[in-house]
Amino acid sequence: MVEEDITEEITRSGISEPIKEIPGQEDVMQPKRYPIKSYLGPLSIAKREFTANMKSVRMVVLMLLFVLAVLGGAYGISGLSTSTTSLPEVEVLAWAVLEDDDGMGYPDDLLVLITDGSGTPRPNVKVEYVDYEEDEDDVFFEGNSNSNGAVVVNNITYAMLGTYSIRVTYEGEEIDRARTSYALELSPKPAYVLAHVLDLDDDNVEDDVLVMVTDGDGIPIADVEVSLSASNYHNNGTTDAKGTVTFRNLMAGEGDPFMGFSPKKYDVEITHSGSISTNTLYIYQDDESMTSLFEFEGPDEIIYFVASVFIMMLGPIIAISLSFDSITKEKLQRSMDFLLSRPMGRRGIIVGKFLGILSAIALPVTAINLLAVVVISSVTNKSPTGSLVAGFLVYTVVFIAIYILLQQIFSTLAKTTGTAILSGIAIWLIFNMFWSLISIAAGAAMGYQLGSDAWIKMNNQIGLMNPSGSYQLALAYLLPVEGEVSILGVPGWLPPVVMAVWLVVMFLLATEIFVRKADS
Amino acid sequence: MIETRGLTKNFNGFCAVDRIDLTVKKGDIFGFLGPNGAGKTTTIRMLTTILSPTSGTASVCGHDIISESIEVRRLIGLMPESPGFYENMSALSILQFYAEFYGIPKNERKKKSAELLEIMGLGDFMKKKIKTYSHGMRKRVALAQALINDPELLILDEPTGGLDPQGSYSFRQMIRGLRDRGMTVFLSSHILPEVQQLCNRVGIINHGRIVAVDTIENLANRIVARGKRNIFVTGEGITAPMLDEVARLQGIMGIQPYETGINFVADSQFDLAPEINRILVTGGARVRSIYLSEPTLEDIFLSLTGDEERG
Ligand SMILES: Nc1ncnc2c1ncn2[C@@H]1O[C@H](COP(=O)(O)OP(=O)(O)OP(=O)(O)O)[C@@H](O)[C@H]1O
Ligand SMILES: [Mg+2]
Repeated sequence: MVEEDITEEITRSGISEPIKEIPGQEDVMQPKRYPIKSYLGPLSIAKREFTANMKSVRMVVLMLLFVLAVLGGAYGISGLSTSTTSLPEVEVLAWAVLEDDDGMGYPDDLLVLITDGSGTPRPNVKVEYVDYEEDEDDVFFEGNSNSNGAVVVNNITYAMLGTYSIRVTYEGEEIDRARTSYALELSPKPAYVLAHVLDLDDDNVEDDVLVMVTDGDGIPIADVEVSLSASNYHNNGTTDAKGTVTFRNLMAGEGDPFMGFSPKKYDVEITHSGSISTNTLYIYQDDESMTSLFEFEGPDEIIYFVASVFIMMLGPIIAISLSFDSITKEKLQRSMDFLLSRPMGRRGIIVGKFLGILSAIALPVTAINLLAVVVISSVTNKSPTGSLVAGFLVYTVVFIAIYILLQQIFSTLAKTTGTAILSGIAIWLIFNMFWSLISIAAGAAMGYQLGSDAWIKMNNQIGLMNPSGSYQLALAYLLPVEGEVSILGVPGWLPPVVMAVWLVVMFLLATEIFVRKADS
Repeated sequence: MIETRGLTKNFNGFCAVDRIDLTVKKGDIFGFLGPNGAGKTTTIRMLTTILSPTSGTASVCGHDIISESIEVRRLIGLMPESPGFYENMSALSILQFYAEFYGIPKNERKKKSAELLEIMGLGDFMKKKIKTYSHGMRKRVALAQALINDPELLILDEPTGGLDPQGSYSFRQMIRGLRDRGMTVFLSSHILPEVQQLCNRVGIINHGRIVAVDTIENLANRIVARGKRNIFVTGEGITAPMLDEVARLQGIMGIQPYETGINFVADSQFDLAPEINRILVTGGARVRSIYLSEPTLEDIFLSLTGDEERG
């Protein structure tokens, strides 16, 4: 054969060996065939996609970023939060100017009560009555709280009243937390009512009232009837052996706990040894508790913050970065025809790729998230709410899954890898940044004031429509804020449902578009 | 094995494949011949169920390409025109990956993949990443992966494109070997000699239409009967009177002088080379070489479709 002569003259180059003769013909005639199960194709694509992504430089870079943001964030914020909450658990609960008991013509004694955040008296706390001077402070009085947490400063001169103030030092740290008090003189025996608004039940809302009834030396008086009433509220109680009675969650159902309440007026009525006295009490949140969300009072808030700030930004970026070329690359490197000619449904290709990318992201992300929870609870020394942790782990994966599918749609439709990634980034910008412009514009159109309750409700409702917003809201509902949360403007079950709808719709869209466009 | 009826594909109004009817029988090595852009790849993509036809039907391995596409894919092996691979994977792992789709058990996947790559002469390379492979090596991987499921029908889109003569020869040997094992082979090409050497039956496509389906011998006869042939002569002392004399020969259709020599276009029915040689030599010219070119694909189309096809 002429052909063979030619080939013999040609020196072999490139490949060391020529193609060999095919061995034995017998086994060939009956090729072994195995049953084809519909999961085979998607599974092998998923496995390949998983390994390829796990080995990629991209993954390493993204996970480094994620670790920095989530673990770094969790650690940093936990540290921050403990440094504020580890401040001595001491409050100058109230101070009241006492009666004129030495005939000076004006009340010249001062009663100071020192308690912790829940109203329990703190003995042995250093209290000073001091005039702050530039060189050396002028200390008029210095003493420690007694077993009732009380200190009485006697014989203040008239001149001191304007310039001198209380200084409390506890474990070497100065506490500047003197709060407004409501002192009420009761007859027949000198007695004082000190009412204060606190967060007694630790729900991050300062809407609990502690009323303490003491005599002029801070000795508690028991069995005093106290009633608290407002237009839509009425409650009463009797002081216990510590002289205290508490009223909780006065603000349930009013205003946005994250945005603050409007002040509200209560009438306090005290019946003591047959005589009745009344006074007025205003309940409002002071500046400290207004920002309680950003003060990270506990591990729950830190988890919420890490999720709604860091993961909300980074999650989509990770999803986009690992899936923008999942289809375009297959087309451009011309390996798509190999997949399209395998015995499997076309949907299986995109499903397999989706599952592969998702598991490659979900695995390290969930591990890092779990680690963040561990870091947060060990640094704050408090364990977070279980449902929030579960929601945090699950919703984050669902959130990322939605963005993978979104990006896969673009990767299928785009002719070039550049267009694919640009579309993904555009969607990310729209959902995470420009979306709030819609509520600002809508708020302006409706005449709502920015930050008002009505606007916040609308903002939440508009935010709910996009995956990032629904992720954030779904987590917000898992924060253990007591009382009504319908305040947020959407029912609590809705955000997770919206996320599920996004997931399902994107899945159906991605597979449908792929089935139609894979061969183009 | 393959049976098409009025198979058609339009791309936005442009008809790439126009109502083709083809029959490929079991055991055939069927050559699908046509110039660039004729519609070969488009036809193959429809037969392999990658592309859905605009109209018409086809059955491959006894299954409809639309309603039973998965069954079709299970029984065929495809070597695409310009195959691409996951560059960071080795040939061995790529083959094992593709084997998974057919439900082949794990240990057999590995054994089979290694065996195929061994046969392809890639034994020493199979664990190296594809990105280190040359074009010819990639072609071999592409052929190997098409065989991973022991297909009944092997569809090859320009299998020897871009290969050196030895590579092409190896491929042809391989394809013959597969035929001997009972495989049916459908291959596209625009190189006539290659198809002549390999195929028992040939279909010719041009502008999306089938212009001929026949055995090689019949086609060759038809071409020779109606085609033309180039006779290229080099030498010194060829003068105008000699050319005039040649021009008067029956069957001479044109004379094209080039710097390197003179091309005589002759009707292939006449054996004119000896006659031309005689005229030149007796006229006193020194003839160095006479080269008879094979009929080109274009010649075949011209001869098969007539001159109206030229427009
Ligand atoms: N996806 C597509 N969209 C639009 N036109 C296409 C598409 N694929 C192929 N074509 C057109 O269809 C015609 C046939 O193309 P095809 O690739 O089938 O030719 P071919 O015979 O394989 O050519 P070659 O020998 O160059 O491989 C060409 O004109 C091509 O431009
Ligand atoms: Mg082609």
